Amino acid sequence: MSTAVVVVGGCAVVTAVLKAVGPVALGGRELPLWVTSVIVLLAPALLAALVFSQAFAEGSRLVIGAETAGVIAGGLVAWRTGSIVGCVIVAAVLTAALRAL
Amino acid sequence: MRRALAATILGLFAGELALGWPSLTSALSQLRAPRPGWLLAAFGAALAAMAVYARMQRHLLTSAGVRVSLRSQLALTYAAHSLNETLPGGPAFSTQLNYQQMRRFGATPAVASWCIALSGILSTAALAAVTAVGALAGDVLGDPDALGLDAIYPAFFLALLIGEVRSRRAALVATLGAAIAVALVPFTPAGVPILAASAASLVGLTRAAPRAVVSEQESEGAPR
Repeated sequence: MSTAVVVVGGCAVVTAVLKAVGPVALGGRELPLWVTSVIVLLAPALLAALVFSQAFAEGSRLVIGAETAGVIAGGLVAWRTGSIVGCVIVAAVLTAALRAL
Repeated sequence: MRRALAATILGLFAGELALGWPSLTSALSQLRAPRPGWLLAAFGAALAAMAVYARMQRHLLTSAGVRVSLRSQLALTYAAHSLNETLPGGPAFSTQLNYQQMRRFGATPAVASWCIALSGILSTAALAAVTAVGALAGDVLGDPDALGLDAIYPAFFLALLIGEVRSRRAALVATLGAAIAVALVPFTPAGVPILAASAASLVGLTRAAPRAVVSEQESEGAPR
């Protein structure tokens, strides 16, 4: 068997098992409260980490550059107007403008 | 009859496998050296695309007079897409699920079929349009950095984050997560800072947290 066949078979098995584990182990039961309260807080933790590691770093160096300013401006737009599209557009345009200077 | 059906389905799978083999093997060679940053970006893009798809389907249902909460429409879209992507012959299963759930939302058979067909047509048309623009503009644009395109991902995630931070506790967790990620960036390979930042969610283990979560969920579930 080639590696490709093994990997495809393995992926199929892992996918099926992963999907089955949830319903089999937890089906019909409520999650304990402390689990829910941790899961709810995973989103802000991960999103903040994604934002900061992309806006303030380039590879493994911490850098404050044009995109940092762009992202901050976009954040202000999202905070004041609640518009995701506006936030993204302002961030891209400001970043491009600062780089063009 | 049943045998003929089974043979047809087997033949279909075999054909699909034979046709897809070259792209499958080239995808495997990419899998050996994944780049975590791009992987995360693709993950985020997929989530966002499906969220938009769910909104589109909800609009279609609303236009036919069927009211669905955004939450249950999102759940349906994610479930249907995961069936679509993972099972062999997935599109058949996901269409079946879509139809069933839309009927449960209160759509008539005609409305459910219409919504499924039209959302398929709209998303295919959008994909074709985006591909065409990309193919034409790719050569003209040149350096994506000069256009500030690299600011799009963090800005998008930041907008999602702002929507997510509705309590002091969430703000504290976001600050902690950001601090952990920034502190680790210079010393660890890409991807590790983000995984480590998830530890900030352990704030949920403090004694006051569970009660806050319950009251938040109740206020979300309440009719507006």
